[in-house]
Amino acid sequence: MKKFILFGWMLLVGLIPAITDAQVITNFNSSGQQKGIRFPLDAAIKSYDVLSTTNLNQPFTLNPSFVYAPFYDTNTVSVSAGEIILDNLAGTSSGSWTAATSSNDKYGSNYRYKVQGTGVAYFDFRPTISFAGEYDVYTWHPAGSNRTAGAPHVITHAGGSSTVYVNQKVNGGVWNLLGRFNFAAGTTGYVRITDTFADAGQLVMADAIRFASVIPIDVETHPIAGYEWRATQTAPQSFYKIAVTPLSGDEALTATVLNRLAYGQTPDELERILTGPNPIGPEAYIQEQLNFELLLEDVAGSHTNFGIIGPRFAGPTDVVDYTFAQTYTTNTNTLVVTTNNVHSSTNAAIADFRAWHVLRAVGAKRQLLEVLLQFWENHFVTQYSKSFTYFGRFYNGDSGVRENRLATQAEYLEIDRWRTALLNPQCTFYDLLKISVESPAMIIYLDTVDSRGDRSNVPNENYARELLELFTVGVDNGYDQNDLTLLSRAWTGWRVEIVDPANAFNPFAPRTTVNLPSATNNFTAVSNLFGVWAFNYKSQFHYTNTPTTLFSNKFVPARFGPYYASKTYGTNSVPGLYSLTMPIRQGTNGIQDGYDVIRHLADLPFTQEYISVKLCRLFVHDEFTHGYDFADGTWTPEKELVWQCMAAWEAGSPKGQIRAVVSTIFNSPLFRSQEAAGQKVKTPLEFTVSAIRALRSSTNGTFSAGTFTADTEGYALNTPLSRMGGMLLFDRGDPDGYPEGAPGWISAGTLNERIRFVQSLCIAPGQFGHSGGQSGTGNDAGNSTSNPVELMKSRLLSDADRRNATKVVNFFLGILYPGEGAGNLELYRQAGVQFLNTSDLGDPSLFNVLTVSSVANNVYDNRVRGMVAMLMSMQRFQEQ
Amino acid sequence: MKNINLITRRGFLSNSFKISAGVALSTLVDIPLVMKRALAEGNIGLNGKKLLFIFLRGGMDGLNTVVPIEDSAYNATNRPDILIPRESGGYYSSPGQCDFPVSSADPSASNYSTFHYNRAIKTGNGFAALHPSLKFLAPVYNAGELAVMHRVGYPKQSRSHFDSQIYWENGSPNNNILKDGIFYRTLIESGLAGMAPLTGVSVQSALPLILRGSGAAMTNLTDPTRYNLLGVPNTTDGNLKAEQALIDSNLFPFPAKKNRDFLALQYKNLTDTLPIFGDIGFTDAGNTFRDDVNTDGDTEPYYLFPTNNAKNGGYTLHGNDSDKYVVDTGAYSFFTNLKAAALILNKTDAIIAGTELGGFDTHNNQGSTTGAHPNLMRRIGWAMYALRKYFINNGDKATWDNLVVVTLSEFGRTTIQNANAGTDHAEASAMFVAGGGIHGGVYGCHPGDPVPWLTGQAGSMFGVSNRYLKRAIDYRSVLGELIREHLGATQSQLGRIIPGYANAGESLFTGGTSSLDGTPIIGEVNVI
Repeated sequence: MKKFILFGWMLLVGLIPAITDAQVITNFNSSGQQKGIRFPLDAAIKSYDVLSTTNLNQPFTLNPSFVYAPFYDTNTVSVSAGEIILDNLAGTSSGSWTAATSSNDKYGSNYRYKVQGTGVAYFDFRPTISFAGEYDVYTWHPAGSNRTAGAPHVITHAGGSSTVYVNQKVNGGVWNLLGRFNFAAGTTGYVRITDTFADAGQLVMADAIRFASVIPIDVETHPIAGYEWRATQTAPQSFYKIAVTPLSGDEALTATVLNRLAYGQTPDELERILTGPNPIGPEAYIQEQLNFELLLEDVAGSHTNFGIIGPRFAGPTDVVDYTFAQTYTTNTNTLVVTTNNVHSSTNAAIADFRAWHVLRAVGAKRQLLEVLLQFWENHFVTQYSKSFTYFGRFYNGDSGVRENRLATQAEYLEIDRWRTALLNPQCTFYDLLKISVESPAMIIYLDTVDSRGDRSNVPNENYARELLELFTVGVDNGYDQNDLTLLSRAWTGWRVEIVDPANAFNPFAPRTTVNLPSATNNFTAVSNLFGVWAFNYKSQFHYTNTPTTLFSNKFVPARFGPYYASKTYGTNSVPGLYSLTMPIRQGTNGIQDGYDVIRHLADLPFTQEYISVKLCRLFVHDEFTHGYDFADGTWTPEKELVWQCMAAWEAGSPKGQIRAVVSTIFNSPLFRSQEAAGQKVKTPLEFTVSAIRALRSSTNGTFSAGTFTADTEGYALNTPLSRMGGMLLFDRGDPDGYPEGAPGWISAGTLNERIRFVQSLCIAPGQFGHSGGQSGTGNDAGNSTSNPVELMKSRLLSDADRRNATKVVNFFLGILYPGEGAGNLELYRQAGVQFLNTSDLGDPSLFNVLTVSSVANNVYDNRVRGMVAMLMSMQRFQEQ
Repeated sequence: MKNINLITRRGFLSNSFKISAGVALSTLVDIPLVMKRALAEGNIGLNGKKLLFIFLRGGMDGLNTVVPIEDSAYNATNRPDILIPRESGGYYSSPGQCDFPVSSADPSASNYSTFHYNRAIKTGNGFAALHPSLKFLAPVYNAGELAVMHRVGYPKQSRSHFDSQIYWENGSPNNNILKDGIFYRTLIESGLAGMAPLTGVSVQSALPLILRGSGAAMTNLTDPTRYNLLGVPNTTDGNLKAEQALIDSNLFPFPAKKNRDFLALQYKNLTDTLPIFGDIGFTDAGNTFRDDVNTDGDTEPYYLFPTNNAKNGGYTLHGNDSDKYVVDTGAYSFFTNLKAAALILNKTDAIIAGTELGGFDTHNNQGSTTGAHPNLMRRIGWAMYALRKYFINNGDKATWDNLVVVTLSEFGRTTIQNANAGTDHAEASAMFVAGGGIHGGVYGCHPGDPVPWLTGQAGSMFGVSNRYLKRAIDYRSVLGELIREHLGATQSQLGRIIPGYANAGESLFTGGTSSLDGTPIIGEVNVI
């Protein structure tokens, strides 16, 4: 059996500049005696495959198509390679050490000894360590009754120095382990035997020291990528010829596209795009998603809960009332009550809406639409529980049920309207902003609902501040505190009201006067009114004291360059001036202030910049920030991409088309390069949904309910999302929305929850850990389930393949880490194979003798499930 | 032997990882140097001193928390709906002890309810008063172990929650670039971060910026009772196998990507800390800590950490009467987290631990003596009382004498209430500092202060833009003094932990006029 014996290794990450191919390196030690190969860890390399062994004469030349790794034949070098033995002849001493030969259990031909002293005298064994790493250090001494029972051995190693005392009266003639130490390359590490032992009249021996590298490497299973393989010219050697297969652009791009435009890959989508017969390729997928309105959306068939939850959503003209299984309409003030069998007994509650939302993320064909909806929902953040509290002013005695329904409807209507808007290919930022501004959920969330500007009232600043800081121009981007205070006047009078359903879109409508049939008394209470809660404008609260000029005398700064500085904004005739005057407007005309403001804000360069930055953070990486100097002539790729997004924003008619901006991002080198892959960390929503999707294949190809190898009923994600950092959908407390970047989500505690989720997901339903069990567990994945064995069986068709650990691991690596070079996954592969061949007790246990089974708690099933859980627990599954 | 056994691979990779970590550090500007310097100076982490922080998020209305009751501008014109009423007469101007309005155990008594007292509580400094819902601060204050700091802020105060929280946490006002936290840097200076598995811990939904940094991972626990992994099968052996595989995978090398070093640090921190927390009883069943005296006139000692109704004040002692709660029922998750932070400081080698309390953004219906803001006051008051008793009676690795508890909040609120009986974002606010070694008292809320509290409609309460309370104490002076005098940083370390300390013009140490905005500040107040 041929073996590589690895003499050393060194991580290349960061040590050397990034290289894109394996390199031959020479003269890597001071003596110039060695030669080796550097195998980069690089996302651009798909695999290194051993092609043949060739005896090559040195010096060899590099065929650009291949790289070569040195190996030794086991016949010529023992497996304890890396061993260095220093006999005392190779040592150096201080003080008078006597050479002797008489003991029969000496190492080699002689040894040294010395009488007790003060430590000034010593005997050093100093190896030349070629390759940094851990070594087991042994000492050899000839034993005898006149030797010290505590010979001081001082080991100086990379971590400091350690002293070990050796009883030289016994254990002679063998290697005695001093311990395992880490040594740097070179001659800084050594073992010193000194004469400061305690027992007077005795002798200390210095004979031989052995440094044994602890890692003989089996080359056939050892990863190549990321290490240097080295050989010395003095040893007889040969080389393996190794093929380097670069990752194709399509492979890398497919992974990025499915991670960013979608909630992660599914096995079926991977095959459709890349690995199956007649793959469409990632470009076609991008075009599909950019034109998502043309895709047939059949997600409703993918789970039975769609049929249950969907009909329960109340539209803008639907009366929300939990007490009757009926819908109401009015006909010229006469209440018509119709029993509606389609509706269940209640309107949707927040838990229903969340389930519906995540079910779409899991199963929708229009993945980009779902990603964008979540983005805008989080950008124009509102809070379910704030609406709940607000409606509590009017409804009590319902145990919070009606507040829940109404607050849920407010959240649902936002999503519903944004969805409709985004389905228009020309949907603009203004369209989305207008929906947010008019949303009862927003009016309640940031306290506009109680703000007043009439008489001496001081308008509430909350909404004005966040509208500027978070929703449009970005913090400190083109405004100051005074603008913010003035802007708060625009929103005075923007309220919500319960109106007749026919008036749902009339902001000037009066409160409804129709009573619910259940209202038998107290007809004046709001809780007894029949109507819908809608945006409503109350002119009596509007600020009308003086004309107000926002951004007075403010000009677009030079950093935006001459184009933006020389444009005119709004009704200003002076180039670059972007002030906005709100005149005194009486009566219902006052509503125009708010619309003027958002029309003005929507396309300001500040807004273009800030929104583009946020979209770049969503689709590319976290390190975009607003405030670039676009005029200074130096361009980072990030700055350039933001600028291009702004150009796309500006070029459209109407301006600010979302698809034009995201299309610009998808076409950018930053998005498409292989370096771009894996730069982001999944949010809890992305993590949980992508975990389910990664194992989700339709067993009958119809994508219909109940046919998936991984599934969720939607509700089960609520608790895990909460545990992973408090990601309560539609209920963010702070108006900045949930973080997009990694630091806001990742810590030991949240990683623990993330890992537990995938572990629980991989445990078979009904088994401990999936449903109860271990202390403190509860029900981590709940009604989210997976069946990895059935998934694997659908792709690995022969029994032999299914019992082949390497093939099984490779299958799962392929679906979990698409686009990742196999070389980079070598350790994952090994860990997986090792896991499959290890019993729960940690003992060797051959995988290929197990009987293939997907029965819960069967050994084979557990092995595979455990291995998949392990692969999904890895750091890289956190990335997207 | 086709395969390398796990142990061997681990050893092999362990070596690789060390190299990798070293390289990762070297890409940061000066962390390795800092770590080297730290080894040569300072006492952080070596002197047994610890710190517990509570971040009060949303911007606390300092004026209704520590009430400048003798300032004529604190009046019903400025705060018609939310004014804290005063007792009549010259009550507040007389120096002495802080009042502790004790309740009665007799349900028929007018002072039966825990929070029956609804007027500003005299602190005895002759000027300031406490919100009545802070009554449990009185025993801490009267023990001389509570410092009440008012008019705390920083130059060019941001009124954005997010920016201002960043500045409080990164210790560098108006600097959005600095991505690591003030306590993170403190722990880096200790030389222990990254070596000891546990140095800084938070118990909340996510690791806060104040403990965040790229050179070493601090630990955040979202739910400490669930801090373990699940194997397949979910048995002792299966769990061990899964955990071992995860530990091994930490050592896998990886090509450089944004976030990968960060993820690797956090993964390692997870596996390093998994065994440590196993022995601490974080569950509610382990919440058996009770007061050592019958407080507030009641008949039995209260539980210190109210994590459910039964452990909430005198509730069960009086036939499940919510009048005897010491905190509102919404406070339980906060006290669960606070208890965990306290246990971690007490049972592990962690040096700094903390949690957060939200809800201070009281734009709407803030409440005077009952309601949203008062409920938060109750939580703060009882938290300080309980922490003191817990560490006095149960102190192990942390004792009350070796501990400092500090509250932070990003800004105060407008002096005049808004149209919604609430208050909007403003400037200076209040901080509380407690501990066995603290020099108790009220700081920054008296006309006789080095920077006097000016009274009246043109006074301190309208000192900025004629709208906001003007700062007299920089939060960095408070934290800086604690980091140096308590945690044991040297002055030069402090200059690295809080960059403003290295700039004499900021006057953080000595007080004087801030060179940044010309505002006079008090500097360090000798709080410990």
